[in-house]
Amino acid sequence: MSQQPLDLECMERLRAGDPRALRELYDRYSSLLYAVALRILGNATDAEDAVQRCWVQAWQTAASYEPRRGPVAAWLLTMVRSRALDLARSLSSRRRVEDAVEAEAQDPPLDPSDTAERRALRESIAQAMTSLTEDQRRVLEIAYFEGLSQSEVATRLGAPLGTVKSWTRQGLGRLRELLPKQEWV
Amino acid sequence: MSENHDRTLELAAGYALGALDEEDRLLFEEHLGSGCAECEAAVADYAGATVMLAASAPQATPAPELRARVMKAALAARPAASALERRVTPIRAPRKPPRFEWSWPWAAVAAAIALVAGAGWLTSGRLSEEVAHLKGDLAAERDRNALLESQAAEVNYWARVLTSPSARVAVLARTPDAETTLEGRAIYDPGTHAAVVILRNVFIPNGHDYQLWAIRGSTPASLGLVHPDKDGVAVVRVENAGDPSSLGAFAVSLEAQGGSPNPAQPTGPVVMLGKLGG
Repeated sequence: MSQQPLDLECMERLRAGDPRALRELYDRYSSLLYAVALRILGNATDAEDAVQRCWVQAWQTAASYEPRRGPVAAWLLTMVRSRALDLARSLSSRRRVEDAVEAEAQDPPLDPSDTAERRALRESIAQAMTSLTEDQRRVLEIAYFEGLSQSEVATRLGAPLGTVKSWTRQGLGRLRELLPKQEWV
Repeated sequence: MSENHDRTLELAAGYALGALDEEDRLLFEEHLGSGCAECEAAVADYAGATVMLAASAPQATPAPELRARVMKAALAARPAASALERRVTPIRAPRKPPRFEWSWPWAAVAAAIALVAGAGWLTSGRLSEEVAHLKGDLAAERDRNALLESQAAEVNYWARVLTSPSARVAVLARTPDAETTLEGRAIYDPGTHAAVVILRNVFIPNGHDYQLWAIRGSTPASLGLVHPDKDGVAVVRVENAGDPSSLGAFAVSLEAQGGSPNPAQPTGPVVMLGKLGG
């Protein structure tokens, strides 16, 4: 079942300035937002900074959310990704790479609230990612987590821009088809 | 469907991914702005897929303390919909660029970007990198500016309440049921109906809460629970304490945790009471 109906109800209250709605959304999505920020920034302090900025922005700009442009989760993710990429650009690339290597070397901490459903969901996402071609996966990951534009991705991979655009469409299209509509918590 | 439209529709995936080059992004946003339902639906669809991509990041959980920090920062910023109607800069609104009042030094950064873009140097690798850095800095400064603006407006608002020439003060006197060190004072601005109540030496007994009340005529009205900091100081800002013709006093009661079940009547003992002076 999708969280979108619950999310939309929360967004209405968020627009009205109800802090309980912010708490609800925080409890539902902070792990996901934090995981993305950590993947981009490579260290916990900066990732938490990005997450905090994202929530303040969500609180202040709730009125800008347009349901027809995508789910609430996607809206929040767009903000946390932008904030994390802003921070990443203002940090030295050396520090970022070192931290990222260190973060990848560590096992993620155990989450006591982890459930069988959530583990199954992550497994299905991992499977979907492996069903992409190597090129599709790399294009999506570089663009999304490193913040490169399509022409920058093309330069990085030494591929024609049109091909990168095709891989993007095919890769995202494949993810859309493969994964069930589900909860993102 | 026209060939032109098909080409635009092909940009939907890159747009949802946040990876379009500037020229493509502007083209696509202009097209979306014209109200194309098909492209809008495609963006929504691909946006769902980006959530899946995001969820492929290694699982991680933020520190539990972050929740309180986020709530504090958000409430300090307050939403645009708040009663204070403060100006909050929308950041990267999807349809139209945010209206932003430029001020030094962000104007200079933006002007630098505009000059570079105008000179057609964006394709130069080193310069593109510089511009990307500047854009990142600019966006971060916008965020900080919006936050600071909100906080400054908040501070100014309450400073006006505290320094209003018509402000009335209530010294909250302890009742026999109060802890002997408890102190309090309320400042009320009849012009805005706002009040600031400052309590000191507030140490809440286990399983209890202090609750603040406005006494309007002879009727109490709850103004909410009192949340002291670690030093026992509580500053309660009340946007509407009541009309000056009816507001006569402030009171504090000691309640079971969560406060009085009746918002119009203290259930526990009243521990502080102060009549508003002229």
